[in-house]
Amino acid sequence: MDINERIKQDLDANPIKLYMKGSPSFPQCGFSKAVVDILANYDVEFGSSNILEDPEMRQGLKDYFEWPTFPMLVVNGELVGGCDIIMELHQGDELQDALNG
Amino acid sequence: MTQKAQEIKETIEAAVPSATVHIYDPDGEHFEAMVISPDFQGMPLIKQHKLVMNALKERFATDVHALGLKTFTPEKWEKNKSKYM
Repeated sequence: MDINERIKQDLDANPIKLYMKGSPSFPQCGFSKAVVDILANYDVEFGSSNILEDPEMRQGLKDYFEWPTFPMLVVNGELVGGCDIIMELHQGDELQDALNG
Repeated sequence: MTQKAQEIKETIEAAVPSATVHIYDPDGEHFEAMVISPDFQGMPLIKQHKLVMNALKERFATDVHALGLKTFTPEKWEKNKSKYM
């Protein structure tokens, strides 16, 4: 399957999706961990993928969203941001709205 | 400032010509940048960050692990700078 098709299918199946290094219970990068920790403050379910285990997905996502780093938090198919944006939205009480899509 | 930090600063300045750029470089690998520009006016945060991040994407693919980034319009900077300076 074409990588963009894989990404679209994954996003259709996961309204809130975190592409990260490692897993929520075992993040392998401080920036990924920071986003997992922030999301724990909200009553949301989210899917996650460890892009370190999927090089095709890792590159495909960078191209798809035109965004060069991980983590990426995606809500309803739209990239909300990486660690800095999620933190800023959280601190500005804007993240709940962003998670509602 | 290390040479790498200087290069990051120049790359951001080339992508956002009107920007004032401050770089913090604690260890030569994890960088933090504060970018202040009137060009950010009316632009969603994700677009402001994209402008800066994509200018650096070749560096992310090679020798820069991460960039902490904060972007400000001049008005937002005036309101918030006491937190950073």
